Amino acid sequence: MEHKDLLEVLAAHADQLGCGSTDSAQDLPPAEQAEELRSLLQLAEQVKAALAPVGPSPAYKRRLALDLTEMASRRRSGDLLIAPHSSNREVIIRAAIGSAVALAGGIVYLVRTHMQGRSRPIGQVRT
Amino acid sequence: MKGEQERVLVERARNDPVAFAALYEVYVDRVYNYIYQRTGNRSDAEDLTARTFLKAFVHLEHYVFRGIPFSAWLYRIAHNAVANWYRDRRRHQGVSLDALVAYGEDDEKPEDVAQARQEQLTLLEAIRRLPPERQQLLILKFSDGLRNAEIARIMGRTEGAIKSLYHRTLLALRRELQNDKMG
Repeated sequence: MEHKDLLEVLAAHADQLGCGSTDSAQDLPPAEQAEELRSLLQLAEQVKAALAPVGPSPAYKRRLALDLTEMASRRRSGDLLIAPHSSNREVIIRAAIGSAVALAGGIVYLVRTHMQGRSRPIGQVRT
Repeated sequence: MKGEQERVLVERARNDPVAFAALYEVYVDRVYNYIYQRTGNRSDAEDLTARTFLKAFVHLEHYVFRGIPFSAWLYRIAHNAVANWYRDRRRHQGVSLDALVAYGEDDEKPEDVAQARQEQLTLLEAIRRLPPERQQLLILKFSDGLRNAEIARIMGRTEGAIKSLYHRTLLALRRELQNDKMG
């Protein structure tokens, strides 16, 4: 068999496998069903079976979608500025700093609320 | 997804960052699968998938259509992310058991199931020893089910070159497996 023909047969077989066909070399002319070709076609079928598609978990997909949407919202509102050559690391650091500032603000608010509650005159404290 | 639909989604995402979510929904499964097949474990696949989409989001304005589909651009980002991962860690990941296709759901004997698992494990390990571009070709062809024309666009080669690379890849893989049997 010509080398070019061999490439075509292998490519056609791979396309068949992609469509879910498992007919192996049945559609090929008998003369082309040489041992060498058969061996490669069988190997292709084994590879197809071994590389069965694997999907992400729904929880992971949702979480990443939320992260990207939040980042997109902040970018749209101008809260997240991405310099033209900024690296992923810079973006992550900026996002982390933003989150840390928001968290610190929340903690300060809670502490102040708590302190105000403790320093109220005794007459205002509910019993 | 057809080229024109993809183009519309990309344009929308360029004008409104929130519209990037639509592109994410279309491609997240394919990107995750590609990275998973290259790394062999869920944890790294999740990390690298997130990096891939983050990079695509940040650099979307630099993407120019010019005949290269957005999917091809995204795959290249994923491919580079995996290459960096290997370079940084200097390791070739072992194959985890969850990478194996489930066997034994019918009435197969336990010893047959075990042998089938072992053969698949050996094959996956041999695939991961191939050069990155050959692994990429096998995954795009068999796991993502792409045609040669699309694979050629993603890998920046001609369709003829992809057919030739596929042949060489099968030969190399067969040699790897024969070496495993002898060694």
